[in-house]
Amino acid sequence: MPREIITLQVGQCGNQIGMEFWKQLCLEHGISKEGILEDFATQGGDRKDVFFYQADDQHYIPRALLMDLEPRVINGIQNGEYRNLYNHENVFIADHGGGAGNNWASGYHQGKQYEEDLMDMIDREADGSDSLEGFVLCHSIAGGTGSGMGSYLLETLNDRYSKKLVQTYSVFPNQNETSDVVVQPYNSLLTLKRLTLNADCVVVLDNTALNRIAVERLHITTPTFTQTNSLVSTVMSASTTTLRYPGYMNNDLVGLLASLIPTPRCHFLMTGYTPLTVERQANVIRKTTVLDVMRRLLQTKNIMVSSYARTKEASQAKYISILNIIQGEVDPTQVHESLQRIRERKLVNFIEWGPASIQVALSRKSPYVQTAHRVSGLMLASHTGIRHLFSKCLTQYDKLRKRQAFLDNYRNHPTFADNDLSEFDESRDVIESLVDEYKACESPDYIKWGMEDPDHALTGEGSASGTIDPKLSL
Amino acid sequence: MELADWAHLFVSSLQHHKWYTIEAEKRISEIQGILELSVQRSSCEGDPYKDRLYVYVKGSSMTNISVSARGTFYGIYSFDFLGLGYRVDWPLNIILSPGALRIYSDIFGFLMQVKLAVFSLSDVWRSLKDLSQLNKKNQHSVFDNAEPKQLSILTEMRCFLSEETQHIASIIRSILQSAVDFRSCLKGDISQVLNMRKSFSKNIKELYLCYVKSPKHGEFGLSSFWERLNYNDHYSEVIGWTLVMIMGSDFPQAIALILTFHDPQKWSSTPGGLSGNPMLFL
Repeated sequence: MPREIITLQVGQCGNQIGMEFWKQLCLEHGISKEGILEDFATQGGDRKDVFFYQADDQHYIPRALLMDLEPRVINGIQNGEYRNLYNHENVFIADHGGGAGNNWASGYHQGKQYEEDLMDMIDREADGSDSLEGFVLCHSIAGGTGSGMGSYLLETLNDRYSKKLVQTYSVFPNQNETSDVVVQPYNSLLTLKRLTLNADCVVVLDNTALNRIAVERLHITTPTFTQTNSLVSTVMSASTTTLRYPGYMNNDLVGLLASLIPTPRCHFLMTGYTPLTVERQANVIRKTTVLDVMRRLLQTKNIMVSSYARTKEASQAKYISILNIIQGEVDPTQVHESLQRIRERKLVNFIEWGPASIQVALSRKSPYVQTAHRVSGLMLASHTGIRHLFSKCLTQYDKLRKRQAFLDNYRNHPTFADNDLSEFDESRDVIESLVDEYKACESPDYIKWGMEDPDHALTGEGSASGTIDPKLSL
Repeated sequence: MELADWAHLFVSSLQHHKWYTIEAEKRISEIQGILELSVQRSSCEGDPYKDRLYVYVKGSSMTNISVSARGTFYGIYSFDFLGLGYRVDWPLNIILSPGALRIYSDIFGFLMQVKLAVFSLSDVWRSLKDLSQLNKKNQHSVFDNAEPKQLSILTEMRCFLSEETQHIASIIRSILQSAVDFRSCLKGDISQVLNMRKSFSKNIKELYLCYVKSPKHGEFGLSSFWERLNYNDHYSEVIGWTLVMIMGSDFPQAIALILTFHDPQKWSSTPGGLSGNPMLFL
């Protein structure tokens, strides 16, 4: 019984990384560009039905919904090599085709406007699965459609499918370059609020770090979108291997997430992958013992979220949880030894307020994809250092907001009509308290901190209904 | 078969199954049906030997069935009466003797208990997540929620089934049971949660004492188990510190310190709490 997962790819970036993800999944499961199961792939022992459904004996169709407010990227997909892969009923392009103009408010309100069409597609896809486990949303937080319409979808899914899990792969903008989207801090902030309140797990894909990895680790001088997107698809496919290859452990998303996310709000995950290659380097052979892989996964240079190693506070940062998904032929005793070695060398700094350890999931590698490496590994980790990324978003937002810059574009939309900018302030409060909560995680007193927080800054909304009397705690 | 995703399905179906029959015979055939369905739905569907797998009632536990007949799943012992068998023909049965198969079955029974506990914790996680979205956040549960991590490690510890480690096994069973209890007390009041928390701490402390007394080498055994359970020294620091203090020579001072440690007001008045090991303050 597979626990099915429906993928929603929203906006330009969402559809691009989504496409890369499906390409990778097709390769790994032996499914052709037309969605036909290859002859060599009939005895795979894999679980294709988590992400695909069968139209007939040979024909596999992704449980994917493609949504955009402008036609360019989706048209590209529909005219490309994989044009016959998707279900054509699962494609939504706004009639006007004008996009969201990099404006969150526009994306959000168009989401509302097209809610019926969008939810019809989602409901149909949900009805087509036996025991739906949840949704995966691919989007970027900086533009208009992925951020705005993505936000609207997150709220609606939360409302309609409250019992289902919602995981997102969210691309954070490159903060080193001057972006072509000047209002990116506004869009990011407003989206972050929804990611905090309406998603169960957010895998953070930080474009700054992806570029850095491409330049420093893969020696590409000017990385293209295709190249960084291939990094993303590697992460996305590796993080779903335990769901796609049957085993005794980690068979469902809830099991994966429950062990990674001990406290519900700190659900933003960093990733790391090793060994990384792009196509032209496929022949470079690196040493890949389990220990090498696990050690490399802990190095900041391999982590796909910007590190702020030079700041004083970075030394305080701690891991809340780590899950290493190791793919390939691995002897479990090697895993045990590696864990011991890492522990002895004190390579990881964990939180002090609860038990924590490196969890390891062993997973199979696709027999249909040839790699030069015997073993590869993906790390999913909850790390308090991620708060610096949010702080940076806040700083950038504050700068823009102080100058009252570009607010007119937002005032044209209902949420901000009559100069009501409270949505910005609310979002800011939510993100600020998120930063505070991650900071509190670095203290051994985190658990009490939540309970004794007099202003309920932690819970944000300030309701006392669920808070326990601190005297009861011991 | 070795992929064992059928076992995952089997345990989760058992847990969610509503039982209407009380008679042992009928019930075991119902369970056999669930087993076959699980195998069929898993990746082992094409296994040519899948029909050899069967369930049976363990010899001595005919009485237990009636105990668990009260209806739905209530604890990790719910299915203790259940054995897992595998039909083996000659000459393979010379090696895979009935005795060997019994060991497999016992291991399966233990793994089943672990699974039941893990499923319960996932359910708890889910409900807490929903609760927190409704802003009825129960802060206390934040701590206990960290249990799945430890529990997942338990599956590797098959050695606990041997006679010499019965004591440890019973501690671990109680920990697993508290995971299940935790789920049932979610609907109750907070004092139930605190009681459960207390019993969890007591069990962990007992486990730690066993660890302190156990030999510290060897690939398996309690010491390596404890190290994996306690990767960031969380328990050793909390429990160990208390114990060291009590056993130490400077008894009054130790007591004073423990009191400080347990006084949340004092503790939280220091900004950010006391970082590092409280022993530094001696």
